[in-house]
Amino acid sequence: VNIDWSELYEELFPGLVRYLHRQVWDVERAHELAQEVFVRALTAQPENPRAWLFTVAANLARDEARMMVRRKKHLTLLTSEAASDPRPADPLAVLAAEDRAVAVRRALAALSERDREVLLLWDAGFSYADIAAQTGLAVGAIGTTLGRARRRLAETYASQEELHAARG
Amino acid sequence: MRHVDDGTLHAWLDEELPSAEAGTVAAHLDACSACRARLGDARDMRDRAAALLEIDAPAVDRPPFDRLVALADARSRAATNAAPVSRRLGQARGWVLAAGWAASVALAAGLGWAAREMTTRAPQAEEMTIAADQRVTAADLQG
Repeated sequence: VNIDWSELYEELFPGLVRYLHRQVWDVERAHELAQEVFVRALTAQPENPRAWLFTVAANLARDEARMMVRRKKHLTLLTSEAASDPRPADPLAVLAAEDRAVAVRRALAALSERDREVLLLWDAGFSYADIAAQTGLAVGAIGTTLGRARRRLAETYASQEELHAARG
Repeated sequence: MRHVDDGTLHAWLDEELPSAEAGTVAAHLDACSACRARLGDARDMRDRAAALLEIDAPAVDRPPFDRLVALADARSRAATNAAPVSRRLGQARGWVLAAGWAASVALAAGLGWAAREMTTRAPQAEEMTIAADQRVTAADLQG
């Protein structure tokens, strides 16, 4: 199989960064991981690059998430000994400039893992057939899953806006 | 035709339906106001979700492709070298032992030679070089 990796890189790198960013929530780290995925792909030369890239990206992101959980646990242990945290529990209350982004993250987190995966793969530029191949779902089920994910995302976000408005 | 389900509406909006099915759906939508209303709702959800995903979308800075190729090359070279390391490790260990033995032979020879010379005159630099060249090397021992 003759693959133009340079062209593929141009086409897929932005989607890969977007996808990874939604998993690790760190722009710089998402770039690093996307680069790592491509370097591995160039070394491995997989026959189905798109599926390969996003599978490896998902695995790296999962590893990263596990590591973050461990770090967070560690941090919690450290900070529990410190004086009371002056930050309020709800970042929406003070982070006016970031509240929308925080609300989007929360809305994404409220989705089921399968719904979120389908939504993020679509957002990264996958076709229904590609998403089906990636997730193991039937092509005919992608529209339903995507529809549910979109609705849930929009509704959860809206409910957070209402909550925020009610708090003034 | 039955009413169009939500999944099909989303697939239709995303232009992901096979052309024959898309034609059937379009014909039904022409005739069914209820499904058109649901299509409007599905479109609204799709657009809102897309807009929300843009809110926190990262600005993508794509490094030059050549840099990735260079990294992949370096990694590939490292991996190629890594494979024989385990095999060379045994040889290396033998080499270290041989080198140690050779060094002690050279040291003993050198000390003996120096002790003899000290009784006569101080060694010249040229002679020291010759003495060094005559030492037994690890390569000689392995050969």
